[in-house]
Amino acid sequence: MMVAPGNCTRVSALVGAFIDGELGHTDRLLVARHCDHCPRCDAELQAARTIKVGLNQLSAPACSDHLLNRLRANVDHERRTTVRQYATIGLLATVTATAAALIVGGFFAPPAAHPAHPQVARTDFPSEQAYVGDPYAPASNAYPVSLRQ
Amino acid sequence: MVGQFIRSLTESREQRAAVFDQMMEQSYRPAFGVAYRLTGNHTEAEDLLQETFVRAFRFFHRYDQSLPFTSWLYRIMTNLHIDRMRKKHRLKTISLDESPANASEARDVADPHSFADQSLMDSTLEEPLQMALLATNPDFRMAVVLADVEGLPYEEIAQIMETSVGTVRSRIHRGRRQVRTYLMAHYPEICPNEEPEVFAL
Repeated sequence: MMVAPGNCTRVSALVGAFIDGELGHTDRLLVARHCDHCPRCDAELQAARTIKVGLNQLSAPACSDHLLNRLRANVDHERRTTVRQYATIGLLATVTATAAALIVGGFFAPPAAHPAHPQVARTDFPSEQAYVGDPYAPASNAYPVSLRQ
Repeated sequence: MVGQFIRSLTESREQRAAVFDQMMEQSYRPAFGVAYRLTGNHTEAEDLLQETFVRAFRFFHRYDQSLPFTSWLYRIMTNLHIDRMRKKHRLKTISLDESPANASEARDVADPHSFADQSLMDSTLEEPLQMALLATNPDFRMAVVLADVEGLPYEEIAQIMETSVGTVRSRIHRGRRQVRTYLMAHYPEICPNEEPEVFAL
C-alpha cells in the first residue's frame, strides 16, 4: 500500500479551502494525492463537501411583505433626526459667532468713537503748548498764550 | 451663509438618501437571508437587519464603492451581530437566576415556530443544519454562512470580516467541523458518528 504524501494534520487544515477552490496548484495536488491514499482525510473531505452542499441548498427564508416599509420608516426616522441635529448645530454656531463678534468688537472698539467723551482742543493743553515754537527763544515766549495772559 | 451651508448639507443628504433607498431595495432580501442564518429566527433577523440598515445609512458617506454594497452591509451586520452575541453572553454570565450549566453557553436558540410557518420542514436537512449553524462560534458561523450560503470567495469574506484570508480559511474549516460535530451528536440518523476522533474539536 502506498503511503499518503504529506501529513494528516496539514491536509486536514486544507480540505475546506480545497473544496472551495481556494488552494494554489501545489496544495491542491497535495490534498488530492493525500486523500487518495488516506481514508480518514478522505472522509473529512467528503463530510466537509456534504455540509457545504447542504448549506448551499438551504432555501432562502421568507421575509415579511412589510419588511421593506419598516426598513424605510427606520431609515427615514434616522434621516430626520440627522437633519434636526444639523439645524441645531447651525443655530448654535450662528449664536456663538454673533456673540463672539459682539464681544470682540466691543473690546477692541476705539474709545474716541464714544460720544460720552468729547474731544478736547489741543490748544487747551499748556504742557504741549510749552514745547511749540523755537526752543532757543526767551523763556517768556515759550509759555502758552493762555498762561501769559 | 450658515443657512446656505445647512441647506446644501440637507440637499446632499436628500440625494444620498435616494441612492441609499435604491440600494436598500435591491439588497434587503439577501441581507435578510444572512441575518436569518445568523440569528435563527425571524424576529431577531428583522431586528438585526433594521439596525444594520440604520447604521449603514448613518455612515453611508463613508461607503467605499470598491466593495460591493452588500459586502459593506454584511460587514456592518457582522460587527453588530458579534456585539450582540457578546452582550448576550455577558448578560447570561451575570444572571443570578441562571443555572451554572446554562450560564457558560453562548449559543443561540432557534425559534421552533419560525420553522413551522415556512416550507422548511419539507426538507429533512433544513432544520438540523440551521440548528447546527446556531451552535457554532459567531465568528465561524459568519464565515461559513458567507462562504456556503452566500457563496462568496475568501478574499471578499476577508474584506467583510476585516481579517486575513488565512483566518477566513481557518474559521470556515473550524466552523464546518463544529457543524459536523453538532450533527453527529444530535442527528446521528443524518450524520453517523463514524470517525469521532477525526472531528473532535
